[in-house]
Formats: sequence, C-alpha cells, structure tokens
Amino acid sequence: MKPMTKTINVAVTGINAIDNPAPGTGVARSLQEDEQLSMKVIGLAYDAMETGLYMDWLFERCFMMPYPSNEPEMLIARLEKIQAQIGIDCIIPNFDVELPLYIHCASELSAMGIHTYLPTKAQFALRNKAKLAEVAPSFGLKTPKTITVSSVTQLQEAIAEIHFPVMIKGSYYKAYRANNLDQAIHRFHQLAAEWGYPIIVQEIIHGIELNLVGVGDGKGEHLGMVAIKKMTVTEMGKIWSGVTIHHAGMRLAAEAFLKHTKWKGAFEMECISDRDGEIFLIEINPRFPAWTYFATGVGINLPSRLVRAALGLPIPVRQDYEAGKLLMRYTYEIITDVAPLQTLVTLGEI
Amino acid sequence: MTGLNALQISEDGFAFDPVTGATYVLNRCGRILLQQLQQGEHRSQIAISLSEQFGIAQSVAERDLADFLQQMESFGLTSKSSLKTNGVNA
Repeated sequence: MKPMTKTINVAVTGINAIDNPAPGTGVARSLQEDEQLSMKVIGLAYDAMETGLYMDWLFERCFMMPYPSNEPEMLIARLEKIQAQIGIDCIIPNFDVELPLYIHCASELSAMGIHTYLPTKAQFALRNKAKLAEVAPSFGLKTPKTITVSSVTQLQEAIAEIHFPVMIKGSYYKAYRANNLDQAIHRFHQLAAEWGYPIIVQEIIHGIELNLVGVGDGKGEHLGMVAIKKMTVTEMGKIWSGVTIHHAGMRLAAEAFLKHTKWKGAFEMECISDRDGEIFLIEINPRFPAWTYFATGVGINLPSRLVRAALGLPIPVRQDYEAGKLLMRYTYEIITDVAPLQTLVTLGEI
Repeated sequence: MTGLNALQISEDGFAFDPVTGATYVLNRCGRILLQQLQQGEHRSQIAISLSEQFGIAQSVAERDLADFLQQMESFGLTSKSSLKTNGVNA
C-alpha cells in the first residue's frame, strides 16, 4: 500500500491517562503509528489537568471542550470554531457519556466535513448496561442475572433475589463487589451521586475474565478484533498487565453481537468463561477501551482502521495476531513549565 | 482444542494456554509428563518412563502422576473423561 500524502486531522476525546485511564492517548498513539497515513491528532479535553494535554508528542494541538451534558448547539459551536481554525477530518469520541451527543450530531458534523464512525441511536441503546440482559439472549448469549434499581428498597429486593456477593454497577462507569447490605447501600449512593440512576445489581459469575476490542462495520462484520485476558488489574479493575489470547467462544460471541446489532464503530466486549467453558456476556462498551494500543501493538491498528473506514480509505486485510503477547502498563512523569496550564486555562487551547 | 492440547510448553518449562491466557511454571518432571500427556501416552507408560528417567520406584511415579493429573483437573486443563479419551485413567 502506498503512503498517502494528504495530512488527515483526527480529533480524539478522553485524553486523561490517569490510574483510571481514558482511551484517548492509546487511540492517539495508534493513529500516529499508521505508517501509510499522515495523521495529526487533535486532543479534545474537558479539564485543564487532563494529562494528554501535556503529551505534545501525541497531540499536535489541544482544545478545551464544553461538557457533554450541555446542549448539542454548544458542541457544534465549539467544533465549528476549531474546524475553522485547523480543520478536522474525523473525530473519535471515547467516553460513553458523550456518545449520545455525538451520535445526535453526526449528520451536522458530516455537513461540516467532520467524519464519524458511530453506531445509530438504536444500536447504542441495545448494549445499554441496564438493557443488555434483555437483549443478549436474542443473539444467543447468556448474561449474569441482572436487575436495575433506582431506590434502596429496590436494591434490597434485587439482592434478596440474586444473593450476596453481588456487583453494584453505575449506568455508565464503575462497578464494585458488595458482600453485605452496608457495602451495597454505600456503593448504591456513591454511584448514583456520580453517574445517576439506574444502578445495576448483577450476579457474580466465577471464571476467567476475557475482553475483546473490535470495530464493527455497520453491516454485521468487523474491521478487526483482538481478544485478551487481563493478568493484573488495579483496584478499579483496570488492566495493568495482560496477554493476547485466541478464544473461539469469545470470538463467536462478538460475531453474534455484530450480526445481530449491525454495530458500527468501536466496541469492547467483556465476558466471563466459566469452568465449563460457557460464555457469559458482562458488558459491551460502545467505544475503544483504554488498552486499545495493545491491539495496535500486535498488528491490528483499530483506531487507524476506523479512521480509514470513516474516510472511505482502503483498510488493511490483516486480521490475525499472535496469542501470548504481553501488555505491561507503567507510570511515567512529564516535567514541564506551568505555561501550558496557563494557556489552557486562559485561552482554552494549546 | 482442549486446554491440555492447546498448551504451549517451552523447553525451560513455561506453559502458556493461548485460549484462556493462563500461564504455568513446570519443573523438568512436570514438563516431560505434560508433553507425554499431549502425545496421548497411556498412564502406565508415562509412569514407567518417569520411573526410568528419574530413578524412582514405579509406585512413586504413579502416585506423583496421579497428583499431577488432579492438579491439572483443578486448573480446568483436563477432566477425567478427557483423560480417558487420551487413553489415561486419572
């Protein structure tokens, strides 16, 4: 494949690489490693302390954005300004909470010349954490017993049905194990305050946790998938080391999900394989996971494939990767001047 | 492919399961034993082979083999039925 000469500007959100990292820096790093495309990555942040804002080797330019809870007009107005200033060819939103907004604005963004590669509103709703247990059987997958609750009374009723220990999950992010009612009520209030209602109460399935990242092509197929097992995780369950695997059951589960939903865009599938090898679907995240660069590192550059698909460019055919490749995450420090922070706070861009 | 057959075993005794991502460290005896199991050798043959290679009584080799198989089963690498299929009675 011949290298393309035109530079493509790709905007990426979720650039906070902290102990609970957002996917943006891994996505940016992947885009930088497509040797055939000349890409400049633009970082979009909601807070001046997002670490990606200071990673000038990944992001050509960075801009502060209005919170995704604001009206769509505010997002469009901000992007119009950035578009006029530097030009954006494609945008990859990486937060669950901002996806409904970007899906809503997709045609308007397209009219501005900003391409996206996102699921439809209906597809997005299908994998909603609170709804997944209802829809998963229709594509042949089991889920742990799951009950959504919006009050402490409902929480108690759900626990009486599922029995301890249970997982208490926020509707967008975070999940905690609860072994007794005190813990369950504490997590219920904590998650409700942070992410709102409903709260999800889920049965715990014992087995091997498996994860898969992929990009659906909107027609029931995919542009590439990589499965891994997390070897060590942080207290919040975020990967700290992992290994690539070839798990046929997991792959079939992902293919069934894609065929049924005709999902378009990035997704992460979380499953548990129990002792009998039965696969339970735990969650489908509608975006790249924070460990996306792992797939790039083993030869399947999914962010780049997504950008290519969004822009109608040729996509590499290679789908295979080796099992037994390791990911080791580590910490790192940037020592810089206070000037970037000052510029971001005062001008909203850098 | 079952867990046992899928295991990739290095010469220095590191075993990796490409299906589940699990890793195991084997001593020399364990490595030889696992390789023989993968080749579908019968339990009695393996015990004789162990006894000859390590200079131990066949009864000791059989007991060690039984312990090893039990451990493999607890790791979900094999089951009694799959061992019978391989010609080994666990």
